[in-house]
Amino acid sequence: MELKKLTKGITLIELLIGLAIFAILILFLANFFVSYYDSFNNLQASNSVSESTGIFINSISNAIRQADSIVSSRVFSGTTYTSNSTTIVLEIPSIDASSNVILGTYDHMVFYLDSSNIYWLVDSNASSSRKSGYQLIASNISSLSFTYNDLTVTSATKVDITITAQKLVKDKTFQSSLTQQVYLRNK
Amino acid sequence: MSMNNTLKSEKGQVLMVTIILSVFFFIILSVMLTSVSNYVKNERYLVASSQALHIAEGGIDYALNQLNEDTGYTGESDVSLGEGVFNINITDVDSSEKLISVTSYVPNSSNSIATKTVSARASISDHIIAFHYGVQSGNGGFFMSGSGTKVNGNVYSNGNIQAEIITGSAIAANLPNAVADQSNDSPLTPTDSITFGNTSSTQDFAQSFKLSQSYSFNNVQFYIKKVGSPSNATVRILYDNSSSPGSSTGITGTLSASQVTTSYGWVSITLPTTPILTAGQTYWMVIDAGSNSSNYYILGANQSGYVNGLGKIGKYGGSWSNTSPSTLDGYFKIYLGGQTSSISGGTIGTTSDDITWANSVTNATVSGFLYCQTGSGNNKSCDNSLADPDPQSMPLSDGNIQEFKDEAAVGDPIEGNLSINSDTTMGPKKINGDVSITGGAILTVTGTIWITGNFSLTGGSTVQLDSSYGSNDGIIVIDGYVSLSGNSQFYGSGQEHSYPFLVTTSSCPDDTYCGNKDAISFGGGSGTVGLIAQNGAVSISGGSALKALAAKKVVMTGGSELIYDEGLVNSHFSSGSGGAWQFVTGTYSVSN
Repeated sequence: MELKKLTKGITLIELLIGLAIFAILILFLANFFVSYYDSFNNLQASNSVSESTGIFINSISNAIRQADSIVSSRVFSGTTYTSNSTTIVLEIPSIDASSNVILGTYDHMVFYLDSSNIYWLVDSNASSSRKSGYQLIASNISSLSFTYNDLTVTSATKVDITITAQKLVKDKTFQSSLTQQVYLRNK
Repeated sequence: MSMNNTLKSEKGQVLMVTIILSVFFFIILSVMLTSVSNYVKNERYLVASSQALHIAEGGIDYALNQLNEDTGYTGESDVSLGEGVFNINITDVDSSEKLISVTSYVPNSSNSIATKTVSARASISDHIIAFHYGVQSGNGGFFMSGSGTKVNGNVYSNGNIQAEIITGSAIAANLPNAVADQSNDSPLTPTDSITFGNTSSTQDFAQSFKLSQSYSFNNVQFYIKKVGSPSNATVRILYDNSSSPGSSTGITGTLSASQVTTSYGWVSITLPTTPILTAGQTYWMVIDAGSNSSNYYILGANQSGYVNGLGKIGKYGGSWSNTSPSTLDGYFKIYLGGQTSSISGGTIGTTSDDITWANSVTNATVSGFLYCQTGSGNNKSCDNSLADPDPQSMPLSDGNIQEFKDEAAVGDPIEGNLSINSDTTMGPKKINGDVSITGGAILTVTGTIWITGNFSLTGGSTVQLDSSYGSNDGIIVIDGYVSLSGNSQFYGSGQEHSYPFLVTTSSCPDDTYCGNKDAISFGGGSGTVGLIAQNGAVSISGGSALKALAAKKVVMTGGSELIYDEGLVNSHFSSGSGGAWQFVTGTYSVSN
């Protein structure tokens, strides 16, 4: 009697219904995870473009602000950089350990766009406490423009900077644009 | 038993799936939350950093403003501005420069998200001008007379030196080579001629002219010939009097008849080097000849060939008429400069290192080196190994003087003459008129003063710098002449090396308004003062004592004394406490 009850088991119908419920549940969850993953990617893309432009604008404004002049061109480790709409070469008074200006000595900096990346080069005077170096400061850049308030860049006292970063995720484009106007406080 | 196991196992699968899915779900959620939180943190930092920078910049402007309110301001802490606070620290770089450093914190200093330090130097308008010599004179020379008249320091003259006692070196430079300053000599063969010395109405010839620079005469030349054997003629330089020759300047020379032939040729007349004529002013040169109908002169001439003057015919001391035709100009050339300089008389130097140096040195008692080409009556013979010294430029440029004037001309000027007879504090200030200080009044100078008229100090009155000048020097610029008499007193700020300087742009006594007064006359006074009259003459007399002197011509008499201060090599001229602290370009920096 007891054995008969046990061999009866679940019917095929029951199994099919069970599988169907499980499949619907999986489908629902999978769909949920896919859209969850997409929005995660989107969020990351959106954050990364706006961070990219924000950090760049912050760094370059800081540099231009302290510059005493824009240099028309300068050689950094064998490569010549010329100030134009996507490259800016700055001459900045050197600073001592307490960040005070050392009169008569200068450091040089370049910000330049190379395909979709912006690089920042620093060439410091030996007596300066600024560190010489090279770093990738922004990526996914779709456009960068420096506009000087004088046709002769070396005479310019103000720079307008416009930057746009773009990232494509699937068929969605995320974009961040920033504009900043900076005066050379040391000119 | 087995049924129970199977049932348990089925239940467990659902739980397992739920747990796995939940873990997966939480992992993704936490990654997302971390990413969002990082992003928010970064964004918050970027915003706070930008706020901190602007707060620090506001702070440094505030600090400059406070400094201009109170020059002793050294900073303060925890000043609130917008979303944050800032601290100011001001330290002295030197007496006229300070380093302002402002650190900002967002939102506060104990728990800050972002902090920025902006520093820049601020200076109060300050000019460093070097006075290398106790006395520096221009081409007018330096003349000392009277026993006890003394310079405790070095003397450099672009003209002659007549010495009494000079404790340092004395150098007299040659004037630059003679150059033709004015001329009328074209075409080569004159189109016209002027006959004079033949009758009383055409006895003398006069030609007016203007010099382009105030410089000593070397010679004038005329393109002249003679008829018969006229006697020598006297060439006189006269002031203008209503477009005719007027009174004498004292410059005369002789036209030697023997040098003039019966055909045209240039004949030179050497003229004395003093007095020096004023550039741009009309003078006349008159050839004062005899009157003899068969022995006379003929001067080459053209019609309106010389733009700065005209020729006239008549009689010196009598009346003058136009030439015929009326627009004739005589042929002439005026040469200026080119003289060699000399030092005469006196005791020069106290050590074997002191230098006495000029083309010609006579009757001098010299302690150290004596460099000269010719010498006589000296205690040593000339060492002619050095060429003659070159002229030196004056310590102040026109630009320096203009800056002083600009400093003074802030705010409303005082219109009209100003008479000060009680204690007064002033500066920066422009006065459109004369200023006289009388009756023992004390003028305390708090900033640069510009007087467009004349300046006089009498009756034991005093000019002193405000204590805020510190170790700096202060300036009073005067466009007219300066007379200091009756025990006038001068004091600096109280600190070492601080002196008031009187700077006049006047060319007195050459200008007509001077009434023969010198640009600066200092009689019977004392105190620590520097006097500068680069276009005019300075006379010091009667026991006056001063610190430094630079003028076109300097005359010291009657036991007056100058005591040079070595600190004047690096004189800091301040615009005074009335001036403003301003940021120094190129000293701005930002750090985190």
